[in-house]
Amino acid sequence: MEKGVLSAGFNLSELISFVMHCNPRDLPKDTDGNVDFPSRVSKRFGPDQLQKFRPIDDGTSNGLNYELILMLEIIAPISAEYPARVASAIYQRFSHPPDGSQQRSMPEITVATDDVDMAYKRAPVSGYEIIAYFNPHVKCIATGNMGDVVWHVSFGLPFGYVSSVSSWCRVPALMAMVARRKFACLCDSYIDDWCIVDFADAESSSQDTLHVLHTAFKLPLAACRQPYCANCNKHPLPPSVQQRANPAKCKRRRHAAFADFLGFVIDFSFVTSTGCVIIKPKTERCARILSELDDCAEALQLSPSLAKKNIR
Amino acid sequence: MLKKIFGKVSFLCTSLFGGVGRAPARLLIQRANLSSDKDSFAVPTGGLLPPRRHAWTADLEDMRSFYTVILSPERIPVRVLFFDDHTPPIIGYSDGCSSVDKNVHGLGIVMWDVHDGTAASPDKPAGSGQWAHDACPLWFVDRCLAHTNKIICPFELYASICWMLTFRHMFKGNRRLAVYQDNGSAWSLMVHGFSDSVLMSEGGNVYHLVRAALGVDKWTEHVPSLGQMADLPSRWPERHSDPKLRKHLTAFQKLNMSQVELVHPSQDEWLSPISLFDKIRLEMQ
Repeated sequence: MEKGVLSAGFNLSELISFVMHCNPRDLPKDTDGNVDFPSRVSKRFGPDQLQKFRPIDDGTSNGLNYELILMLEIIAPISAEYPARVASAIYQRFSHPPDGSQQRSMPEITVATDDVDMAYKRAPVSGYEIIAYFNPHVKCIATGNMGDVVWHVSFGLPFGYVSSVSSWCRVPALMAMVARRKFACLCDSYIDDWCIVDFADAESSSQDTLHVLHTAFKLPLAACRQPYCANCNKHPLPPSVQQRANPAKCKRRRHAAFADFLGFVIDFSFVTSTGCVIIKPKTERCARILSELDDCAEALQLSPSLAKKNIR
Repeated sequence: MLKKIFGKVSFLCTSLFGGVGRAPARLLIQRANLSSDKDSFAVPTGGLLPPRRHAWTADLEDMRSFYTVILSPERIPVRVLFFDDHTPPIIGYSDGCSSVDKNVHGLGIVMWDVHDGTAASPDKPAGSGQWAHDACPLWFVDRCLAHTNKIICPFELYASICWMLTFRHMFKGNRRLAVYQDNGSAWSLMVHGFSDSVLMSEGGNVYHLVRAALGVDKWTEHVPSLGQMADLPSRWPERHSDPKLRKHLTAFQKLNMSQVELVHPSQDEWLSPISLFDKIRLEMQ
């Protein structure tokens, strides 16, 4: 609510006034006298994502995923190879100039990552989603008893719908085009994760440009930009400042020879010397997969329903 | 949980070396696609026990052991992408030939390297090649026949593994590989690393582990059987006295192609591909 992606809590009457801009008595009714309110109900579940629950709408059980499926996928997400491919293109350009000019040595290349803050919830959509939950601490106006359903209106894309992914991906695809063509930023995104490749001498100018662009689009990046945040600073901070903890919500990673992108460590430290990029999985990620398999082995069973329960 | 683990494993593996680790994940996705807990059974002390088919089986334990080894920090495949890569790829053909009735099972492999310095002539393209043929080992034939009568698909896959083992020394200098396959099932597994068939999954796992151990950047392409260069040597055990086949094989000699010995994976290496992975990695260092 503080970030403006969710309305205040309403009771049913207030909700109808807010959404339909009319008195509940004046709502359109069908021939049987029932309120004609075109909507689709979905359950909500929350998978555990490293001690955080992400609310997901069940677009499969209410049929919306089936109805809104695209026959043609128009967005091709990038992989962890993306920064290496960009570096390779730079290498080819410098070692074999297309205008026949003299070869130049490979410059030092760095890679940075950024994350869009509440990407789906801030996505520009024409519709809205209504969320309801039972709050036992609210007094019901109709009965006078404690406990009532509270309604919120969400203005972004819901998690859980296949269509949300492709709808959202159009936004960073457009931004990537603008950033590349107008500002010469070497960047692309995987859903809401940005990967920015830049020359070390440029000192993060591409990342700063992307930040300005995102702010202009009213889709801020998850970067705190605090003076004491080691993630947001271009240059190493003095030890006295480093001891202060980084804000938990800051997901910015400044340009460096190493970067974590999509669960892989991208190592650019051999770009100038050997002309190669090394990609290796994060050890924590491998350990997590093994830990989950170990849990299953310890329990000596794994049922599909348990699987579903754990997923949702 | 299963789908989650499967998703994580697939994403991790496909981002690195295509099919590494995807074949063992077949068990996860098969289990996740089971219907429900309807056949839970009651026990005298009360309550319900989960169905037996949801138990942690020996196959699942094998799968866990595999991932425990391959995802350990010292073994996890690391991908190195080189920039200055103008060298044309090595071209590979592999083929299998099987006749259960005649009990003849042949393997053929062909390699052509455009970049070995040999100039082109009016009769011959640039580069040079090598070829090899051999009969399929009996342990593999028996293993195939124990699973299915249609053994040509695993044969084709086995031949492609033999190709990489035979010519593995060529990948020390960071060479790319373009490999041609005329069998659709084997081709799919060589690309995706995933199959519903137990036998093909075994082969797919070995294939992708060998590829990861070699660290080779590979492109797999389908080729019609008529354009399959390895078709001729694969028929050698079956028709070695056939003058027509001999005549065709002289074409290889005209191209200055030399014959080499075909290298097989051992039965132990097939059943425990991590040992093969370790062996090749050690050789490549």
